[in-house]
Amino acid sequence: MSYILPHKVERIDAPFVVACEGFGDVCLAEQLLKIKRIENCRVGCPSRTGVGGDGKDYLNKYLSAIALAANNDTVRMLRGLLVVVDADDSPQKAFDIACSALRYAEYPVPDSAFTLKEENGIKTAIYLIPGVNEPGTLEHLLLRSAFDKAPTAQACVDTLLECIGRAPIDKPNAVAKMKMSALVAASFPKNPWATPGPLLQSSDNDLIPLDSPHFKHLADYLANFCTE
Amino acid sequence: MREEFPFVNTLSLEINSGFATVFAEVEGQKHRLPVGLISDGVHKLLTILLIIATSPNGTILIDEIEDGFYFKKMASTWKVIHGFAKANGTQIFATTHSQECLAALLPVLEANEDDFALIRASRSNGSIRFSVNDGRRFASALSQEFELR
Repeated sequence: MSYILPHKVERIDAPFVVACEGFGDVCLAEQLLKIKRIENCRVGCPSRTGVGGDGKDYLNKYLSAIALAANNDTVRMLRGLLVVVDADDSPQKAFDIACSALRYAEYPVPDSAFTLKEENGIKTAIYLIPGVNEPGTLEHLLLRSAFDKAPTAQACVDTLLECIGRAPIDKPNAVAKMKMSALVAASFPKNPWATPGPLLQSSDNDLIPLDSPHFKHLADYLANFCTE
Repeated sequence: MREEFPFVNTLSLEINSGFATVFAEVEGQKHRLPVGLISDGVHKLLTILLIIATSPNGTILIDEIEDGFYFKKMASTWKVIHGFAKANGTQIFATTHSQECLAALLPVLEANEDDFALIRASRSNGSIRFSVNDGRRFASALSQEFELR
C-alpha cells in the first residue's frame, strides 16, 4: 500500500518514490498504482503550507528533503525517483524545471522526458502530463476521460463557459481547470467544492473512470518504473 | 542579551552567599536580581553566550537546546546564538527532540545554509549510525515538514 508524502516521514521505506507537482497528480498516481497492484512505491508532492506559488516552485526543496530522508536509511532503500509534472504551456520548460529540481537535490538528471537516467544505483525519470510532446495539465487528462464516458457533458460544460463569458480562450490550461471545476461541482452534491484529488480518491467517483485508455500510458509507465 | 531581552538593562558579577553570581538590572525592579531568578531563558542564553565568548574558535556542546526558552522566542534566540557563534568562530553541536525548536531555526538556516548541518543519530542492530546532511537538505526538509527528529 502506498501513502502520500510528506506525512511526517522520517525515512523512505520503499524502493520507489513518485514526486508529483500537486495533490491531484498524487491522487491519480496513487489510484493507478492501486489498480496495477504496485506496492513498492510511495507518492507525494511538495508541501505549500503558508506559502503561495506553483507546485513546481517547491519541487527542488521537496526532492532535496527526500534525499535527506533517504540518507537516514540504515539500508539504502531508494532505487528510483520519478518526477511527475504538468507540461503546462511548454513541455520543454516543464522538463527543464524538473531537471533543475533533480540537480538541486543531487539526483541523476535524465536527458529527455520519459527516459531513464541511472547513476550510483538510483534511477530517475521525468513524466510530463498529459503525455508525450503535449502541452497541458492533469485536468486535460481527466477531462478526456470524463468526456469519453459522458460525451453530452462536454457540450454542457462548453456552453456554460460560453454563457458566463469569462473563460480566457488564450489560456487553455486555465480553461481546462474551469471546465473540471464546473464538471465536479455539477456531479458531486456531497462535495461540490472538490478538486480532482479528493474526487479521484472518492468511492463515489463515477465521473472519471480510472480504467480509461487516457490513463494507460501513465499507468504502464509507473508499472515499468517500479520494476526492480 | 539586550537584543533578545530588552528589559534586561545591565549585568554585573556579584558575590551572593559566597558564590560569584551574575545579577541583572531589570526594568520595573528596584533591586538587581540574580539572572537565574529572572527566567530560565535569560539564564540559559546568558550561559550560552558566555561560553561562546570564552571559547573563541572552539567547540561547544549543548544538550536539549530548546530547554528553558519561551517558544515564541526560539526563532530570535537561534538568530542571536548563530550570529554570536559566527562572530567568535565557535562551532556548536546542539541536540534537540523538539520539532518546534527545529521549525524556529528555519529562517536563520535558510539565510545561512552553509553554516549548518544536520546530524541524525539512529540505532540499528545495537549500534548507532550517524547520517550527515548539509544545510541545504536540512532547510529543504524543514520547509517541507519532514520528520527530522
